[in-house]
Amino acid sequence: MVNFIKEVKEEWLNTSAEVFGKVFLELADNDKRIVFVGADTFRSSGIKEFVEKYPDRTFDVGIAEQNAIGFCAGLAFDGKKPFFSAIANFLTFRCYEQIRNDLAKPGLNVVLVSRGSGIAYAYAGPTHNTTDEIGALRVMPGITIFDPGDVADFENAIRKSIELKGPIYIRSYKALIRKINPEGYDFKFGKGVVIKEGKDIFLIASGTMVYQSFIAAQILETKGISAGVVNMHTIKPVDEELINDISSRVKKIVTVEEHSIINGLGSAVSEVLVKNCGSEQLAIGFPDEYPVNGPYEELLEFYELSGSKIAARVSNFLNK
Amino acid sequence: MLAKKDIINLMTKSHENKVTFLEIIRRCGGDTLFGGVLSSLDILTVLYNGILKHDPENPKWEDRDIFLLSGGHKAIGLYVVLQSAGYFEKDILWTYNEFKCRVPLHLDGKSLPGLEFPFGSLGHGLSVGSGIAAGFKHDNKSNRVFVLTGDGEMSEGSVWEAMLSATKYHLDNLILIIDKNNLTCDGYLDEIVPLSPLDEKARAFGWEAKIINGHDVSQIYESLSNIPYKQGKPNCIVANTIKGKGVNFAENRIDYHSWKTKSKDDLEKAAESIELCYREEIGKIG
Repeated sequence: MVNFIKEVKEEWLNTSAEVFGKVFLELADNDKRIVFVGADTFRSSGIKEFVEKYPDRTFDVGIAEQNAIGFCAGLAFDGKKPFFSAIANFLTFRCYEQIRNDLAKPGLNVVLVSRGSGIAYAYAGPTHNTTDEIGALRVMPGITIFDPGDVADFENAIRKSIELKGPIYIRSYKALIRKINPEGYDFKFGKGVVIKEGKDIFLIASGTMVYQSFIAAQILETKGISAGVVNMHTIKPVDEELINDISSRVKKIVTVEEHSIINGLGSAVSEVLVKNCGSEQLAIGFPDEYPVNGPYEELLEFYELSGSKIAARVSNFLNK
Repeated sequence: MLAKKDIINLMTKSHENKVTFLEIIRRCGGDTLFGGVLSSLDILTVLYNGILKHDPENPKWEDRDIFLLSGGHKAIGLYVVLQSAGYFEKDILWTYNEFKCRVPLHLDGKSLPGLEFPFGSLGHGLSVGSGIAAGFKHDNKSNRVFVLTGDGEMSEGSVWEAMLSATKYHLDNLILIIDKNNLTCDGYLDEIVPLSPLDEKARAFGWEAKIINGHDVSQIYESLSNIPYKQGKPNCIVANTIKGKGVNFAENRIDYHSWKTKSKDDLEKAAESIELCYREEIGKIG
């Protein structure tokens, strides 16, 4: 075991901010629409060179995250491609409503890059560590949620993020795993990567836990258990096709994330699995989109939440 | 200075808008935000009739000024003004609050030509407006951004965050108009949480500020015609208004923050009062 832990440590690249700064500058050199918004987060975001090179493309609004998101929305409205980076907790919870109303609802492409997600700020306590922000964001229609497994994932996500329609939340920790994805892997948002095949069980993981799961799979191999590992870097939209494929091959699936087991990757996977398991669940509620306006009773009918519509849906479900 | 005929013209337009507003309530008979719509309708009317650079034939015109109704609950007032400016057919107004209608209670932002951004939760507009204005400055464009808030909305901390950064980025192309009708849902604002003096607060935050009578079309017009007040500084207009303006039984009454009535009698009284108020004010001009 000791050896494995040592190996993991050697695999860590000590700062994701440096990686971000490098890729961001490269991207910004090629696209004049790219701007950076900070909330007293310039120094910690690794963008020193960008700030020196393009001072007029930086906006630091001070320690005011709600304003920072609204400001990003305004810049995106003008056709710019704003990036905003801050500590995960302040980037998400402090300005949650602004992300929902000002970015996700109007569908504005703003890139939110966190730092210190999960328990990366180990000593900093619950005001800074976030094991729940994916859960809060995942319910929001129109947002993409990304949890990079290694440097390549992180770089790819940053590069491709400005092609998306709405906002994207890119999770980052303090350190990044150098390499867990196979050489030359095909990167696509919403498409998981099989890191290791397995016959007995599959570990579907995201972020830092992809590497930890890989270590676990190696340990399990020594015990004669063939465990596959998937890097599910995009938590929203999750790769349903891959989850279905895996569930047709193995009887047991494990999800691993540096996040609460509520409403993170685990929940996303179970929402897919439940469609095929022994006791099938029909989830009645709102679809993943912003509700339309209208009189309450008509809305209940439209969303099939009236007694008669529920009965009809249950009948259809039984007869399926 | 506006010529007398222009003043009368603006007052008449605003009056017609109020009549249309009452007609929506009559036809739709539903629950509608009321007092705050009437406190802001004169301002909205002047904005879209001589102040904003805009083109109903080309709503996404690149050189247009941007108007953000941060108090998105007053959307019905904006729909009326946009319709009267020619952005869409009048029939659309009569579908207010119907299922999937294009004129919902809170601003959707995309449901109609002329709308720019969705608002409904208070305290968002000034940050969004600052970002838009900063983008215009960055691109050396002369477009301006007008944001209308209520005075109650000024209790939201995010507004003051935006005040700070607008000063930092010298957003003299940003104009905050505060519809200061003094009332929120619960009562008089200065009893709930004292916010006055808003002009002095704005100045202390690095803005230029003016106080006007928000029902005097001539004062509204003049205050919005000399932007920026000072090179490099954002502009704040504190518009003193009356909640429920023109409907005598609703003026300054918290019960008329929103109004749900199906009574023909009530609506007739409201229409008479609006008419009388208009005639009196025109009479004063002589």
